[in-house]
Amino acid sequence: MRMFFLGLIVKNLWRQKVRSLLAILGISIGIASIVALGSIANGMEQNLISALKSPKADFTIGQANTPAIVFGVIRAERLQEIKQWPEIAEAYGALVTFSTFRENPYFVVMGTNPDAFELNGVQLKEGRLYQATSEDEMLLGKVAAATQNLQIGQKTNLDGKEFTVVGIYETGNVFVDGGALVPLQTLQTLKNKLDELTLILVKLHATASVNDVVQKIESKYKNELVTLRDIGEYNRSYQGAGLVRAGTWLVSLLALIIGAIGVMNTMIMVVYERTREIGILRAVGWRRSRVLRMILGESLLLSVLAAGIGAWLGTRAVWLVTQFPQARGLISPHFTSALFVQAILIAIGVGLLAGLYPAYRATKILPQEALRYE
Amino acid sequence: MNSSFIQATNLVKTYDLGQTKAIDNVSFAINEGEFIAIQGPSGSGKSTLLNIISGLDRAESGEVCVAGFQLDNNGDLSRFRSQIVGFIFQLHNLLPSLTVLENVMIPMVELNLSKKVCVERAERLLERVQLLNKAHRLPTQLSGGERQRVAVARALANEPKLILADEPTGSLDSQTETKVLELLRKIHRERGVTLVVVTHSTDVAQKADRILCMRDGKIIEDRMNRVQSSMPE
Repeated sequence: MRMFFLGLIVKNLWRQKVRSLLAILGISIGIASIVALGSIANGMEQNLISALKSPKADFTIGQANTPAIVFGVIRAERLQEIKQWPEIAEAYGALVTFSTFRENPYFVVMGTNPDAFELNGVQLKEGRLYQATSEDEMLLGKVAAATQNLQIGQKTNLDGKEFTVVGIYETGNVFVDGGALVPLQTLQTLKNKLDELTLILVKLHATASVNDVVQKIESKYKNELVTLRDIGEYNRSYQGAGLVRAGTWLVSLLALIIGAIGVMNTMIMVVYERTREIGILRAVGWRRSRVLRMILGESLLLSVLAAGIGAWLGTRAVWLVTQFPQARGLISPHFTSALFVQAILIAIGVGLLAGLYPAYRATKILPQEALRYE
Repeated sequence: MNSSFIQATNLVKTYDLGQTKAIDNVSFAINEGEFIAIQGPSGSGKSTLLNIISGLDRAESGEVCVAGFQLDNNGDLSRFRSQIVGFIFQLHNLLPSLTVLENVMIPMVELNLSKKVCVERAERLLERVQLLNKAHRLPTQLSGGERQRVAVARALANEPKLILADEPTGSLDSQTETKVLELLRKIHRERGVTLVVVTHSTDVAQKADRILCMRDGKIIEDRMNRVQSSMPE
């Protein structure tokens, strides 16, 4: 009779189609925000990590104790000092800045020289490279070139200075590809940061130990420099990722609470309206636990349906956002199965919690009193 | 230790914080297989007494034992209601969103049976009350008499030893009343179940083997009915 009982739960929800649908929509907005914001946060994290840590470099050096590595400052002389160490095969500095470029206030401009491109994973797709001494040439990322509709040879303005686009590059990272590269010294001069770097990419000689060099840097420049080798170290040093996640959860949590209140309200109404019916079920021998399971089952079914609809809505919403040119360089969603499993488990949890009180109230209905209820 | 199927001793039930005595020190015994009518005017306490016997309500004092179940403890009596009792209400109390067949199957949810077995049993019961052809209709598509026959089939769903009927013909016309009573009597005879019918009607009471007359919460008469009104078999 399990199937009959489950069928009864479905039938009960179907009886109040509009109300059930509204409750489902309420909670599915919460689930959609978890999926959408979660995938965006995942994508941001992935892109920031790959922007900071080139697979060809052994490690990256950034400023210690900064909430966001990309806003950190390293004194340029540190690069010269480290370069002298016998273990170091190559070390290049890069300055990461954000400029307002054609109405995009978060346009990433990276100051780096062509000799660092290989370690940075920069591949020239069209045109030519600039010279390290060039003062008015830039390379444009593939995504930026497409969204800004700029071609090789065209001139464009960056922070009041005119640059000519001499080539188009690709790194595979949406942040870097959504921005531009200019010679390091040119950007340092433009931004009045002559003695500053944001990152140093380091490649060691094959015989050198990464652990030893990392320890050497972190003890010599304690509280000044930090090395990043993997995602764990990145998350440890970049508290910004935690803030983005916390913000994502806060928004999702608010949406979920509103959805849960909707489900709870629906289920309280269900119990109130079906008082007599529940009384009949108890009178013909249904146990309290059976009534509890019926109401919880209805609440759970609402939430599971909401999880499915919410997950679909979330993916569609992100897709819609990525259709805007302004978002292309910033948002590259990363959907993982863990994210969907998380969303479904949260929906189930919310369904159970929201149904618990109405179900408890239903078990307290006395059959003889319910049968007098009109 | 008693051998009666239903044994009630010194039952008391009050309403309005003790102001109104619905049941006033009532004692009686019913043997297994008897057909009893509890007769009395409105407010005499007969429905309250039936609710106590069925485990839907509890007495404030006194003891009641039905088929070995002691009903005056504080435990959940749903197992008792599911296994021992079949209840027929005055207003049929069918679930409007379920079909006739599903309504009959509702009490079987608590039994550990397959859906196939339950459907077969419900269909047999509907055949018994001559409503198998309307198994997939909703209660709103049936007449009052038909609905009450579905309620009879539902009361038999878990093969109870005791059928309790609270004014089962109270909302029916006289012709339909006769049909429903005839059905109840037949079931009582065929299955050997104990049948307790609460009624204000002398005509209905006359169909029973024994009549308990109630007034002001007391049993004022307990007599065997030697002049049972004839009913077509």
